[in-house]
Amino acid sequence: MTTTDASGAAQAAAARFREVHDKVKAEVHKAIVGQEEVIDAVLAALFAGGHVLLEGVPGIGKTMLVRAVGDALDLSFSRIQFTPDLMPADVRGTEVLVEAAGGGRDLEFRAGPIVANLVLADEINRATPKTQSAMLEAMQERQVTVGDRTITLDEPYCVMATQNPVEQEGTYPLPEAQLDRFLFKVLVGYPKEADYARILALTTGVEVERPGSVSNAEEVLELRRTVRQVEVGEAAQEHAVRLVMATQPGSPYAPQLVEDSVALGSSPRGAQALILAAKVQALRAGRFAVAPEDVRAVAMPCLRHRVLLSFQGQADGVTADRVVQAVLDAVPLPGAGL
Amino acid sequence: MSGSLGDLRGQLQDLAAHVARGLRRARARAAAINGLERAARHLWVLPLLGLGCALVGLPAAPGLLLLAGLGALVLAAGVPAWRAGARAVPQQEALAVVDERLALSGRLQVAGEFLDRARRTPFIVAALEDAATWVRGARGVDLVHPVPVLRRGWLGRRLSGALALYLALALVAPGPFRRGAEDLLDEVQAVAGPLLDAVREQVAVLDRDPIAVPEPKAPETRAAEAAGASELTEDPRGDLSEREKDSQGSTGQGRSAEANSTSSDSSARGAPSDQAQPSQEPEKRPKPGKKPVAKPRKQEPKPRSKEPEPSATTTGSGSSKGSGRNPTASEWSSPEQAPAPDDAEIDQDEEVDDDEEEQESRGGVQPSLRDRRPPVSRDLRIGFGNRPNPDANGRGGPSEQKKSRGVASLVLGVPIPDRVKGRPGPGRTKVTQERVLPKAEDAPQRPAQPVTPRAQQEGRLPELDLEPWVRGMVRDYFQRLRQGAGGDDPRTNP
Repeated sequence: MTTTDASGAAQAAAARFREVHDKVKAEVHKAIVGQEEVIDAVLAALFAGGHVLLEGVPGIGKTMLVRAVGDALDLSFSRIQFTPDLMPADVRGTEVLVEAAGGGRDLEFRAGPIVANLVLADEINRATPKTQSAMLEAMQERQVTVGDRTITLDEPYCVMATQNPVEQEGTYPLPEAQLDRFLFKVLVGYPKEADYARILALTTGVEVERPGSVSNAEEVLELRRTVRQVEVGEAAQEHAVRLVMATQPGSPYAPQLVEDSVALGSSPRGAQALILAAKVQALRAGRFAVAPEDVRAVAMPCLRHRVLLSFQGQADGVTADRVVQAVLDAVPLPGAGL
Repeated sequence: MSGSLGDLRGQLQDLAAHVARGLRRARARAAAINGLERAARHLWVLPLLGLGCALVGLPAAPGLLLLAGLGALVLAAGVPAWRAGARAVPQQEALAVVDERLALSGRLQVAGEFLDRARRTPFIVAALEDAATWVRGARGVDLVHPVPVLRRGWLGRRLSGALALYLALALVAPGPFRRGAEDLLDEVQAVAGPLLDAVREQVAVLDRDPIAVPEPKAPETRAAEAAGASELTEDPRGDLSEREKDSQGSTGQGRSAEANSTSSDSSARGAPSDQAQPSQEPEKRPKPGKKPVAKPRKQEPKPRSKEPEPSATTTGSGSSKGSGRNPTASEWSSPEQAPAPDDAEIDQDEEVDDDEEEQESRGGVQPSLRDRRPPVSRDLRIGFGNRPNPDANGRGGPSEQKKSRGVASLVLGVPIPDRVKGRPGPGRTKVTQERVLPKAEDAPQRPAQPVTPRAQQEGRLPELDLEPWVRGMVRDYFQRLRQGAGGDDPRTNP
């Protein structure tokens, strides 16, 4: 392959990515009005091969967003409503006793709702940690183990969980190990004033427009491979590493707010998430290599759930977003200033 | 393609070299300005240095001091500028600056890095081609690097401040230093021209009238003067703000009552001497019948009578602990703290005689022999008939109260009297007794059968066990329905 052919292939793959991305986004917009950043983040997590945690007050379309993404991509979709009495077997599946053909009985595995391409874990913080941890293996290893049986989940596999920042009574905050599995934590805010008219027109009329299928699982997998091929320069990689290290108290890049208010910073998995999400960001911007500004653009959703505040930080009213912003301020872009 | 990438390498190098030159110049200028400002902040040291030299007899000529000051400024600005200008700017750093200034999203920096990679993936080649389209435009742009602006006004104020300090020191300094100051004036006049004539005239005026020369005063002296001035003033509230400015010291001494009321708690605690000031300014003391603005302190007792008694605070001889009366002691012993009758009743209920506790209450003194009692009986019986058990007085002993509460209440064999206090209900209770003989209930026994697993299918389930007349009616109904097809309708003519 000559360099011209190679360059043409890369350009075609990048153009294909943008085309599919834009088509899926347009379909999702048939159901979701506004929320550009949220939709971008959800699609970025999907194409980067990660999972996403959506946090927002009730009634702003979190569940509808995930359902719309499933409709637009023609993926198998399942929804798990997490409740305090939900058991791990309800999520993973279990073995049931069935009549065998020869007259005897046999144990047969019935897969739970976790076995699907797109899993909506609604209000995930309402289930007990035991049930929440049932998601860990599926999210990280893409497999489910029940008894002596291990089931490999079909790709693309993406867990989109929602949680409610209010009504925290009776909930079980996600443990750090599980939070770390999410590529993004996206805060879903209220729609803008201009979006309300279209929301009301869409949802209170006779005909409700539903997103159509514009892609499929194979295409999503192909786009994931394209994302992985995007190159990362040393400057961008170094910037991602410094951002992650700046969230860790005691590191040379940590600002004072981190030293004072953070008990636990991001793990190396945070750097992986930064680079993967930055690759999607570069492709969306029409570039073939990750720039440091791509890393900064995805730093907030990538790092906000990987920062564990200390007691002093919580007492001072420090938020994770404020810590990440302080980190971004403390680690300048390469070339900024003199 | 390789040719175009070779051109890209050259273009990037040219661009980086051009930007690096501009960057070095800008950095040198920024370092010079920063160094100059840093040195100007410490110019006040020079007059003090000259004064020190004059005091110890070393030469402190104004020209020498001026030369030292100028030399320090030149060194402070020149050395960092030289070092910043001499520092080489790497190519990647220069390209990063171009990317940042022209918003190229790191394209040129990445291209400069990817050109050196041996293995080129399709995306690397695409990134290089992408950068080649941008580098041509970037070469035509003349970047302007931001440089901090020299604050001329700030620098002038610093220089004139140092000069004023020098002149002030010269006026109070020994002769040689003063002569040196006059020499400096001559030199400065030669340089600055007639602008300093006014200064010279001012110096001459000060020499003629030394009384008018305001000597620097210690803060304590100023505060004392201000306090004296406030005493002389007839209207204590007249022009309060100006007096506050003068009278406020570092510890808050001499503050007016209004000023103290707005001060923090810690500052109020730091000024114990203002406790004696209300005697000098009685109109500012909080009135007894009115809630004072400032929160009264703990050691200030409330006036109980009209005759003022000398207290620790007014005499300034200690805190509330050292005073003869503690105003808070009476509050603790107030009737509100007395136990309620209900509590007393509960205490009486709980009260038990215990030899060990008595010993402890005596401070461990050996009890007398007459207090010796036989060991506590562990008999669980409450009493003997209607008479209570006299031994029911120990900690684990069978006190009636405890028997009705503790483990003893769970023992079925122990009769437990009702210990609920109060009346069970109004009115009289009528108890009627009825003698009933027991009756035998008819309960036929069913024969026992072995329960075994079902060996075969159960088959058709038996019909419902209907009454004979219902069964006959249903049979008649269907027979008539079949016989009278098209005839009488049994539903209308049963």
